[in-house]
Amino acid sequence: MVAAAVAAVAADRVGLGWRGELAAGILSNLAHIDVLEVIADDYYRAPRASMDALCSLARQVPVSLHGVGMGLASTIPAEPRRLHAMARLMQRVQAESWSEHLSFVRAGGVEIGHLAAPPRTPASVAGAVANIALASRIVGSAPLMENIATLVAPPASTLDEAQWLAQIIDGAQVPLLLDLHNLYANAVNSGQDPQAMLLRLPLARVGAVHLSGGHWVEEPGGAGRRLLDDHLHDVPPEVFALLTVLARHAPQPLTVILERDGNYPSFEQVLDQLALARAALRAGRTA
Amino acid sequence: MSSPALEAYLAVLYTDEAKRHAFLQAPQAQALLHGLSPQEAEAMAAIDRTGLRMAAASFQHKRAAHAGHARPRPGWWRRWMERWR
Repeated sequence: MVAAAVAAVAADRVGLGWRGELAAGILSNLAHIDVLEVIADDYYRAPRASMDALCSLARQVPVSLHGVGMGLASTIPAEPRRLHAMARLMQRVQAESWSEHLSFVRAGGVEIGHLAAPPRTPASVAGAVANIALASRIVGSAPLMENIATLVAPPASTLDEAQWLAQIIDGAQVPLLLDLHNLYANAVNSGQDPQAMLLRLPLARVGAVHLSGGHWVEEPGGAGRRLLDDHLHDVPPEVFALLTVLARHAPQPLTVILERDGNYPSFEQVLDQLALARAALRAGRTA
Repeated sequence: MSSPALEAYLAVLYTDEAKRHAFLQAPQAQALLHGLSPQEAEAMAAIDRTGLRMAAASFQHKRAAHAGHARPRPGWWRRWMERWR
């Protein structure tokens, strides 16, 4: 193993998303968890006791704050009040980093309620770069920006997903939070090779990784099926394989976060998933 | 392409079943009616119609779960799909 790979193995971290349902297991197993990711939006208006608990948690284990409501990948300017909320939370919690999604979540006064993919065009690249710059100024640090899963190919797109992501990450000069299940789902749903798509991304700019699972759903009329990223299932082997490929091609240390939003398994099974992530990283580093 | 108007119309299509139905009946005309340019309307007419319906169902589920503070459960997708049969 070359020296750089040894260093990367030593610095790679594996953790998971904080969820109340997993709290007991997390707090009992902090020795096996290098880092936690907390949904920031859950704490913007949290009572003092919840904030104190989060601050206490952040003193015990590195915490990253994950935003879901800014809608930064948009031709519409981000709302400053949402960025100030993240700034206040970062200051209060002293989190080591924060992240958001490359999505839009509202437009024209309509709240979509989740992460939506904008048309992939030079205009949305420019809008995202401007919004990320504004967010970085207000929060005081640059976010990691995450690729999202989408069941619909964004209409009116003139760039493919890899081009679009690369242009934003390069233009905004921010790290990529690479969700490998989102990448995998988008690739298989659009008939592309997931590994080929992965290798077209700016892998040297990946700062963190998300792992999760999903399930296949039938298309209306039963003509075909698509992979739905639902965070309710274990990480599939294909996604661990992508993590190995990433670790082989990205020399920098990686922070890997396991996401689970429901259908919770035993915490032993969660720890098994973390162990599989560590093994996938190791396999890539030593290849 | 890609403009605030286009994003706003997509947000409507993802959240308003009646307007989505109207769009699927006459995509180009409806897009023009909502202020999109002829070029954008033409691009909208080529939308992945299956994906639009699936994405809208997924967003609706997310909104419902958020409103009720319910955690997502396996099987919700099958229940949504039954509405389309």
